[in-house]
Amino acid sequence: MELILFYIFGGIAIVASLGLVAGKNPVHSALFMVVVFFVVAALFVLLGAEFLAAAQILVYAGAIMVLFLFVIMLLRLQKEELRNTSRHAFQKFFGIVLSLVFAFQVIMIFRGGFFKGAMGNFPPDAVKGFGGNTEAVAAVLFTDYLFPFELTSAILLMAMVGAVVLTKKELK
Amino acid sequence: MVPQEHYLVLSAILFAIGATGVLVRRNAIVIFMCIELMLNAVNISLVAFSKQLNSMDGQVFVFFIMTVAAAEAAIGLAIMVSLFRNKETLNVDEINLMKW
Repeated sequence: MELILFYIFGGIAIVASLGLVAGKNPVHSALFMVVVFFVVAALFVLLGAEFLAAAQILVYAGAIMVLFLFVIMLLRLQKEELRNTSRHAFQKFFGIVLSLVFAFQVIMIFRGGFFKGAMGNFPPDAVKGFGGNTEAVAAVLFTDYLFPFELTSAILLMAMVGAVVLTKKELK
Repeated sequence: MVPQEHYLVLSAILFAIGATGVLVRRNAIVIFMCIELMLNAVNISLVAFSKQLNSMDGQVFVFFIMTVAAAEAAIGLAIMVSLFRNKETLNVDEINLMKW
């Protein structure tokens, strides 16, 4: 059952990301991107990461995609893509070939299956003992990773200030 | 129970599709979306490793990656708005301020 769901979601993810790359209209690409984000959230649920699935939908599908669509529609890019002034004739060919080679290599590495490591402290029973995935993530995030967590607030503040400064008409 | 390799292969395929988009597409916003796709592919493999190793560290990393992606989207789109204001285009072939 889980395997069937994985194949369904994985298939949707691949088809939607191909649509994202191949679509002529940026708005269509953005909508395919929303599909990919939702499917990735579903895969997170399959992997038992419910907190990240919720965060994925809130942050990516909710915030980032709205921002993308807002900018695309603000900048009226539809005619941009039609002009199509590619000066590099072999760019498409080489891009696709390079990516295929890359995917082939990485898949060959993964097929070996030699990814073993030190086991952590959170087997499924321990996660249940914490009260769920969200509590277990919080237990690690607010102890071992407290300082990086505080740094993310600085990153977000810088992003906010930077976005305001960059889009201002003229600086006084 | 899905074997971990399945998730890793799916992640590699999505990453390669995103890389293709970055190499092939000319529209800066679509290139940006492909970068987000690559970040998502990496997130899948991090969560898969986190499940296999019974550890929460991978999921915490994904949380940080999401934060950085949100900041990156805000800054990047702001750059594109100001770029479009100055150059009237988002085609990366026509944005050739640096000649070499």
